[in-house]
Amino acid sequence: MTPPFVGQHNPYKGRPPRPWVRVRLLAADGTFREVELIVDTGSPFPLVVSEALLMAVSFKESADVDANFGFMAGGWFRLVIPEVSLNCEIHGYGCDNVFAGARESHSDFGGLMGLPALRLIEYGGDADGFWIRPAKRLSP
Amino acid sequence: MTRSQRSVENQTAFRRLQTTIDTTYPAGRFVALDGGQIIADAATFEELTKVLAAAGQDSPEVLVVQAGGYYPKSVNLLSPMFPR
Repeated sequence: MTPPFVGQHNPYKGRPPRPWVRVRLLAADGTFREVELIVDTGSPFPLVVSEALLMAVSFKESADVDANFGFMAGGWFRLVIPEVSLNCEIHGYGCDNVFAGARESHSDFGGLMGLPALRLIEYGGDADGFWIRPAKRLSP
Repeated sequence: MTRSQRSVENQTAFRRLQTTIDTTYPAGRFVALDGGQIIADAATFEELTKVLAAAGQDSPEVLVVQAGGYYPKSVNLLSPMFPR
């Protein structure tokens, strides 16, 4: 018998079609924002969201960076993906140009997730969609 | 997005201290800066937050980095998703 799939399996979405994940970003007051992020394994940055979302949920500031598409404000997020049991602080950025670029593909998208965040879990894809699942636990 | 004067000063301090942080602290150590200097460090973000709160320095404008982390001052990304 095939065990039930644990994680997210999300059909590609947008024009052009994009792989994506659904995450929660927790604010200091305990509330959270759920956001869909385009997956970009070529990005060296864990998270990039809108500047407004950074301001709303970031716990602390972090190093800013000037990129070829504009200023990116650094901050620390609490990233939660319940389906893969991920709950951690992670460094990321607020950048409205990246946010706008993501939304050009689909209005549901709120930014992107890059390789450093994806390495915290397992990920992959097929002809129909993109999936994530919990990271394998290493033996102590 | 406009950073406050305090944030700008912390960003400037980080760039001045980045090499010192990377060579002084073990990789992955969380380091906090404010007022132009390092004010705390800890093994985890949660621990650092507690230390800062206990010292009355838990402002969101405090700048936190990890020693040895990837914090380029500028970057040229090639991803085709980004507008130019």
